[in-house]
Amino acid sequence: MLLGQDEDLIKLSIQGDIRAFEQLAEKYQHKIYNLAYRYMGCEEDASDMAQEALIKAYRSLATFKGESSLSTWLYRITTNVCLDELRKRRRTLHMISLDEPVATVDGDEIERDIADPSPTADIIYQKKETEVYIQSLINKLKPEQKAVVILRDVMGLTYEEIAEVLNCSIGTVKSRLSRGREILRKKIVKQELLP
Amino acid sequence: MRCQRVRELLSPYIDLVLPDEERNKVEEHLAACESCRKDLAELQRAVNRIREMEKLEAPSDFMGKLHERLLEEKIAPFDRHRRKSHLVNNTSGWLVASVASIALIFGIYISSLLPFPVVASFFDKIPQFVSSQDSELRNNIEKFLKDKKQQMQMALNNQQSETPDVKEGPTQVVKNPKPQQVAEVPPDEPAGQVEEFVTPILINTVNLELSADDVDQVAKSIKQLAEASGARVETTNNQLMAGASKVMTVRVTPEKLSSVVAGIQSFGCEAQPMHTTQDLTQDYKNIKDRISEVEKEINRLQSLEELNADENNKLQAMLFEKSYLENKIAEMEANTQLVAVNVVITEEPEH
Repeated sequence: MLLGQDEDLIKLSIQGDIRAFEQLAEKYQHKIYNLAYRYMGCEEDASDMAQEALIKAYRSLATFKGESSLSTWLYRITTNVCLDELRKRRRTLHMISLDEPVATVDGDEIERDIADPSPTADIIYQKKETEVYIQSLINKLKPEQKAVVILRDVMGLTYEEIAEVLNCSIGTVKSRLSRGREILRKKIVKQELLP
Repeated sequence: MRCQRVRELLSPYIDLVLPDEERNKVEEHLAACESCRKDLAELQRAVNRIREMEKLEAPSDFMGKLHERLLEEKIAPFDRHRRKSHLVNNTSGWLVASVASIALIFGIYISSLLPFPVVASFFDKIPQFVSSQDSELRNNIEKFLKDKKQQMQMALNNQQSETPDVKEGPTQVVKNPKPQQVAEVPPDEPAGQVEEFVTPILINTVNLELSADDVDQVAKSIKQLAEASGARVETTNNQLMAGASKVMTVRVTPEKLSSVVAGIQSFGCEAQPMHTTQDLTQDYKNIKDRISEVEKEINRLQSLEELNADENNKLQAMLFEKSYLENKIAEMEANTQLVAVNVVITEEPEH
């Protein structure tokens, strides 16, 4: 599955050639960063987590057997790094998931999730706002639902690839994705109906 | 097929991964059920929204930072087997010295820009590039940073007893306590010596404090607002402040300053912004001096015919320190062209 060039760079990296590894990292940096951003929801965390993932990849490159593609393997590491961090924070911050019962009842949830609309909203800004809003919804999904939604709808992976990244069955991918998307559908539709 | 079952299958249905038989059943049901058709349309729209999100790119300094970390990995080998080797113990000492002096110099630098609690908490943290597995190294750095924090606290107490004017506090407080250990500039230059001319490094700053229910959300909104005005944003959360607080520095051109400040204030700032000018000339000079010290040592080591393991480790650590400090210098120079808006956002719990 590996391209010849990647294979050579991996061999050199395992021997401790930082330059070779940096060439690999350069190739995948944006995708890894984008993935980390969608998990973490802010730039500085995304950058930290993407760095962490690449350092982990560098350390464990010798264990990469080429059974999956290098990108899938890197997504797996990035996903694990991000989800571990989120779980750690979840334990300390008691974050509320979108589909968990919330103490305050009724329609206040959305207002709490998003910032006040900016007074300087123009079209470009509105598009950004929508993205921020959708990201805020993704942020509140349970980690396992968040992972499938991001891997499928943001990164465009197939169900098989997602199962590989998350080390679970395709059936599990299907059901988690269905649940995650359903939660987002309700929230997005509700937001669209607002004035 | 019942509605509930169909709704469970809509997600794989839009991904075209349903087996033919199930797919046919879903389609039959959809043809007859308006409510499920509506759900399908909504689901497709929601999924499209997610898919249309921007593909973000890593920041421009991403590879540079990675390079530094990889270099550190090389200096302090990571795997268990090699960590136990003799080599690492030798490396630790140099790395501690190197990391500690960077931490100290950087500490002085940010101390000129940020309120004291922020600066103090900087000394609670260990630079991220220190491998979490190397406990000895971490302990040494921890001890060093703890000592520094105590020194700063003492300096702060002294200063507060001298200047009771609290209003001036947040940004001025930590300017004076410049630890003497690093890059000392002799207080009295010998008479007759020509003093090198150093361009003053002045940074105009505006300090704002906000309270928010959701610190992350406000930080995100500020970032958006700032970036829409072409400002550069550095967020020093997690590394500097514990708990639900964030410190952001928005670097903006003087022309855009007032609109950016007004925008940030609209997120919940009660106090008036505080304008100050920070003179970082001395910090700048200290870093420059340290670079030349490091350079001298690098030259000395590189001129040796053969390096032993210890010398080689020292050389690696010094090269690392040099590149780090040079980046800092470049950053400081670039920042003089902009106004730094420091925003401290603290969590205000809901009632």
